[in-house]
Amino acid sequence: MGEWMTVTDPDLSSESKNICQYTSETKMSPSSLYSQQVLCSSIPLSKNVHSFFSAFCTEENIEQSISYLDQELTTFGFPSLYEESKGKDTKRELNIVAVLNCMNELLVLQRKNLLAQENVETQNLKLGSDMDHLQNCYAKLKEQLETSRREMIGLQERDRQLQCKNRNLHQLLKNEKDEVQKLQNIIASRATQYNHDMKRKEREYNKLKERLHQLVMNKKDKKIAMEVLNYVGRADGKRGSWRTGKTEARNEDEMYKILLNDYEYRQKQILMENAELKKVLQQMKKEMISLLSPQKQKPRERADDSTGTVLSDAEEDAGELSRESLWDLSCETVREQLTNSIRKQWRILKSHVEKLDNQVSKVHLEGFNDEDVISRQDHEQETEKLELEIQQCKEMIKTQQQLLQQQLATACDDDTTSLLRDCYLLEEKERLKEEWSLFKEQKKNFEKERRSFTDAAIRLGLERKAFEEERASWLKQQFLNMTTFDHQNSENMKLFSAFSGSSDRDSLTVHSRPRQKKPHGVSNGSPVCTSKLTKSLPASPSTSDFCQTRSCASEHSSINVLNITPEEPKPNPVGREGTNQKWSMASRPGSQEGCYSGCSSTYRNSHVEKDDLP
Amino acid sequence: MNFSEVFKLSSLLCKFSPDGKYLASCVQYRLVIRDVNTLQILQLYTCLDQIQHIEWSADSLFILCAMYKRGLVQVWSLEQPEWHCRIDEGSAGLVASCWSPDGRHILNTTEFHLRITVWSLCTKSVSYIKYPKACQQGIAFTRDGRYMALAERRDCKDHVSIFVCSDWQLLRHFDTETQDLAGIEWAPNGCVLAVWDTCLEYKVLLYSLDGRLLSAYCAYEWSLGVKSVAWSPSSQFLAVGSYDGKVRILNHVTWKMITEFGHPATVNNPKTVVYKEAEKNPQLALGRLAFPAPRAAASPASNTESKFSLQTLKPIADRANPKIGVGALAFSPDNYFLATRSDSVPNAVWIWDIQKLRLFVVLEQLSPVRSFQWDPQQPRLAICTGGSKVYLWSPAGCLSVQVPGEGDFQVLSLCWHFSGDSMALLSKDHFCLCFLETEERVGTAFGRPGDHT
Repeated sequence: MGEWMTVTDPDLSSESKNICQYTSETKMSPSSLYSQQVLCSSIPLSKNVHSFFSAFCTEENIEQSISYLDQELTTFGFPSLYEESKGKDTKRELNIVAVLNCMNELLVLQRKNLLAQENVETQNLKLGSDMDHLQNCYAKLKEQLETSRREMIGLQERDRQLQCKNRNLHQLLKNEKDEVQKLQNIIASRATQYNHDMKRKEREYNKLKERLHQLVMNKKDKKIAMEVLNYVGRADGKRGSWRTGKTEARNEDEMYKILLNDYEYRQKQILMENAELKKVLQQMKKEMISLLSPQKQKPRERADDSTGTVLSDAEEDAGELSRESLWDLSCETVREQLTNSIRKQWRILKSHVEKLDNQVSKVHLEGFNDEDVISRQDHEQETEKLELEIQQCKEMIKTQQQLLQQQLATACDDDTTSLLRDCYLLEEKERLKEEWSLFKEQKKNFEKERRSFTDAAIRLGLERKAFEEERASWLKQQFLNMTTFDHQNSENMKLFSAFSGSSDRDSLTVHSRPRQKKPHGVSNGSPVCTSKLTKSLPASPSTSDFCQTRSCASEHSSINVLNITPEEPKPNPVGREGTNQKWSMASRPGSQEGCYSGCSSTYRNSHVEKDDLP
Repeated sequence: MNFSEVFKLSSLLCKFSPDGKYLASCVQYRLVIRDVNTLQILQLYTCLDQIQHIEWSADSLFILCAMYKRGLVQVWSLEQPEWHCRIDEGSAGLVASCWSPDGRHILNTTEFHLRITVWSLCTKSVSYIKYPKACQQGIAFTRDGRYMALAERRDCKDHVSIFVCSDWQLLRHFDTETQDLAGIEWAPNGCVLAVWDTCLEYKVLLYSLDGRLLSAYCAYEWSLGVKSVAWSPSSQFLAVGSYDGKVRILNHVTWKMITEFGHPATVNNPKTVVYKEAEKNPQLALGRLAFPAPRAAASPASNTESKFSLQTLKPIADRANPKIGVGALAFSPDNYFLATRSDSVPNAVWIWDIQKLRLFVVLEQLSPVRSFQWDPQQPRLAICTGGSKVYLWSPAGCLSVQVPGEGDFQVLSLCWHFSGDSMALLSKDHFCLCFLETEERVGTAFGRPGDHT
């Protein structure tokens, strides 16, 4: 009770401060139950005040009561109820003014106390609800931990089962393999046996056949015969020849002749094919040379270095090529020459094409620069201008034609004037004709120019389109690259956030440390502490602990209000850190209250929960 | 297109003479020789038993009729109707008989492939060749008729003997690196012999005429292998159809594979034209039908669609000779096209463009394709499916023709006249000739369906 008094009295003397310090120190480490009792008992106490007082004083014991009250009041630092004694022996008089003042003081104090009590009650309620919430959170998290643990166990079980299955399958596979091996062996042995049997059977069969042959053939079977009316001539009209060594040799000869013919025929075909292929090669080479030769002038002018020499080689080859007779030979060297020159030229062509590609790409790159765009606009303007001019010319021509016709028409009217005019007209006509042709030419030129311009415009448009496409593809590529990077980044971020979460946790534990040290008078920013309190709670082991910390915090806040903390900014950092480390070492096992593996998951959940807080 | 009247026939024995003048057909034990143009009977020979095989000699002067059941071969001459020849193989039996390319010798294979007897019509001489191999295609003559290659089996190993046909002298004899040789085939130029192994192993060997091994080709292992082989007429390509449903084309220079043609059940390439036979109303079926009919609109639809799936047959895996793989191959006479049939897609004929080495056309019929044969003169393919229609394809288009006549004429087989002007259509016990238009009229006939492509 006295504690609250001190809180609400801002202008107290140094003694009261001492007292309060004393009380706070004495009450610094009571059990939460006690503080609770104190808080709770304050309400009935205040209600019982009246009855207590009525019973306290009666007619008989006024004096004692007064003296008692005086004593009590003086011990509480109020002025004495009695008047200043004039003499030691005289009985002290009751100072009504002082009594009234005291009463008033007491009433004011009482009111203030009630107010403070109310405040404290609401705070208590708030804290209680906070605690409920946190307890709920805690319960939820615990549940989650449980479920995840269960899940993990389930997964482990499944993993184990799968592993078991896998092992079984491996075993089965091995068995199957063994079986296959066995079967293959069986097959092989069966095959050999079968072959053996077959051979045996065949031998028997052959023997039987032989036997049968003898039986059938040796019996001089009368039936085996050919009846023929008369023998017919051979198809070729020749007589049959005797079999001699000569015929054998002849047969061999013939056979080889046939084979030779066949090979010759094939060789001829291959030669023909070769010749055709050579022709194609030759033509290709010629075309390549003709294709490359006009282009080599330009690069040379541009002071090309390496290709020039190669091209001169190509020229030499071209000279060589004129010796057509070489091509008919199919000897090794010629073939090599041919293939080499072709290869060389192919390389040149390739490099040339690559160069062209590069140029084209360069042009494309440049093409997107502003100047070309402007030139295109110029083109358009130019074409417009030209069209306008053409239009004007046409109009002029038309008017002139009209004039001419009019003149002619008028000339028809009177012959005399026409005669006179004729000479003039002829001259005029001549001049007109000249002009006409000039105009025509001009017109043609304009047309040509216009066409060229339009062509250029079309080309430009095409190029531009190609470039656009290229750019789009490039952009796409870039974008894809970027997105992949982003993806990675986001992953990194995630990782980092997870990490930061853990670090946050560390910081939390750090924050909780000063609170624990508050009994030693090292004060910290109390609002920070209270705000952190909610955060640190998930890690706090039990409700009782929580209550303790809460009371600490409240006390601390009171202290903070009381003293304007001159020593706050200068706590010994080294010592603190040392204690910090010690504390963290000590606190972790306590706070984690279970397995380490479960901690991180629960933590993350708490993190989420915290975010969900209103 | 005109059709002759229907004549009787037995055992699908009907053959044009090589010179194209005559047509031989068999009715039970009678052999009937007709003029191709007038279809009048020129000769009628009566054999001793039901004829099982007939073959013209290369010069079209003789025709042999084999009666395997009795081990008998009878030879008839066209020039001298009274001339006759009878060869009796006696108790040795007879399983195959054929002419030598000179048309003066007959090669008879006895039962159990004990030996091959070479009977001469010019002299009394008889030659025997021992150890012939019992296989799918064991005898092969070069196109010029000079040499004969014969597959042999001695001491459990495969051998090939090359004989000179003029005097049956052995020219070369070499063993082949095959497990169980299945067939041999000369290249049309007569210089290369293709030898392939049994279906259990994919192996194609190429031998020169002088017995050198030119190349060996193996596409894959551990699976059923070669099913059919065909040389291109120019000897430039060797097409090998296998059980994996692919045709591999080997070239004649390196004997390596140039390309492989798969036969998937869906045609994805939009450039490929698919002709699908569509059923029409029976009353309209008389006469001729261009079967990419406008009402059915099969082929245009397939052109616009990117995918076209064909009817496939699920092969029975646990039986021998499964219906999978490329069972028939034929190059067109001008080398430009290759027609194939995959046995797992029995209703379709694939036609490949050999110049571009890609699928050109797929023809899907309503029923399984029995056989197809190229026109000997132009790229024109005749197909029969055992129904009453005959189908023709040329690069210009496709058409189907109903064989006229009372009753159902089921075309089981067909053979072209060498001029390409006509072909014989054979059913179980009848045959008729189908005359195709001459050049200018052919153009109009093919023009109409061609519009649809």
